[in-house]
Amino acid sequence: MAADPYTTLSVKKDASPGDIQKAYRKLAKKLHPDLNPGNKQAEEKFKDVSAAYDLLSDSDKRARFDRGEIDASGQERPRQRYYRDFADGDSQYSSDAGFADFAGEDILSDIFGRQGRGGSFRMRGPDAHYQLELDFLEAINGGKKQITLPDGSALDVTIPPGSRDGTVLRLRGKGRPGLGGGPPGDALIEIKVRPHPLFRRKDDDIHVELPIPLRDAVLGGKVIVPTPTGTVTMTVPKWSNTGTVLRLKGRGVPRPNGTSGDEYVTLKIMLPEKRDPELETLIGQWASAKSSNYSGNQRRAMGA
Amino acid sequence: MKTGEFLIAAHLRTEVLHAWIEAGWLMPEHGATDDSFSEIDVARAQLIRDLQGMGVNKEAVPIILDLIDQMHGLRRTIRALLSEFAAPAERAH
Repeated sequence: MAADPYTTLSVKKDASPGDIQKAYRKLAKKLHPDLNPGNKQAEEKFKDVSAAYDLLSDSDKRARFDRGEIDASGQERPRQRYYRDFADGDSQYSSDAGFADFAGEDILSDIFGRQGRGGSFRMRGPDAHYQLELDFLEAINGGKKQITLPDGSALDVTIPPGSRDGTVLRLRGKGRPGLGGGPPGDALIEIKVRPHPLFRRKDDDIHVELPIPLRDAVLGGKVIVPTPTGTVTMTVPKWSNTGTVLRLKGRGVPRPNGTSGDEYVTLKIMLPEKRDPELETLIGQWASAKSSNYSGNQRRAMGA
Repeated sequence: MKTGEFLIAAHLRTEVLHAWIEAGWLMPEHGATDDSFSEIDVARAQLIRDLQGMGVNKEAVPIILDLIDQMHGLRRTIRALLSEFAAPAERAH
């Protein structure tokens, strides 16, 4: 039993043809299935609205309905095939203009090739995402690493020297298999770098704090410095203070172009671990001899 | 289907069909002797007639058709993504 067409269109019994058309258009714009492809209820409502409009927009039918000669049933249109029923497939009307701009480098471009009518579905496999934690030095120096995937298979990964935290390595064709004969996706491996107890990385440079004995700070000398590729000997100039920064050129992070960043060594003067009465005596004598001068220097150094 | 059958199925007059093809609203396959139409062309013609019934003028029809086609392209993509790309990142070790 169809509903009253006046109620369906929300118009009065004496509504003018213009009002009826206006009411229909308002509802049709809202309810047309092709303007609501994801709304399954829209189709049923649109059918009712269309049927009501078919009846009321025809002055002859409307008059007969008003006189009670016909009822609202039998006015329903045969079930219409909507455009949305076909447009989901591949056709000459298919458009990727809504997302073609983000198809450039990644998966989307490969999802739907233009195959024309009757083309079968062929899709590149999806990319598989993994995280790989590396020690600080593994990331700096690079190398080969075998990772075990959740499905138990192993994958050899070449870590490029100088890899940063957050770097994503792409292994072509190592992702999930394609559909319908499509090529496999890529494995995307995001690198997480664990911090190092001594080294800190800043861009391509390595920063390290180096304790040096009082003797070397005052008189200068050779010290052993750790670098990511091993230890090197460095000359500390005479009279080097805590906070002095020395540069070891080319001892930083290797770059893809073959050059390397630098290592910056910040000196930190260390007193001998055990109390040394001899040194205390010596400093005492030195201090009393220089006392006025020393405190003056200190005040100047503190900006007083 | 051939042009004659299509005109009946879509309730169109010949000159209207020519105008719509001319405007690019319908794109039948061109055969050697006759154009060839399919169900999607019938449904698209119905959509155009519904749009006109809603008061959409002929300047706006191609804009709406284009946006609807784009929307369907996006819907297909989203559907493919949902079915195939929903797997979360897994941790390798």
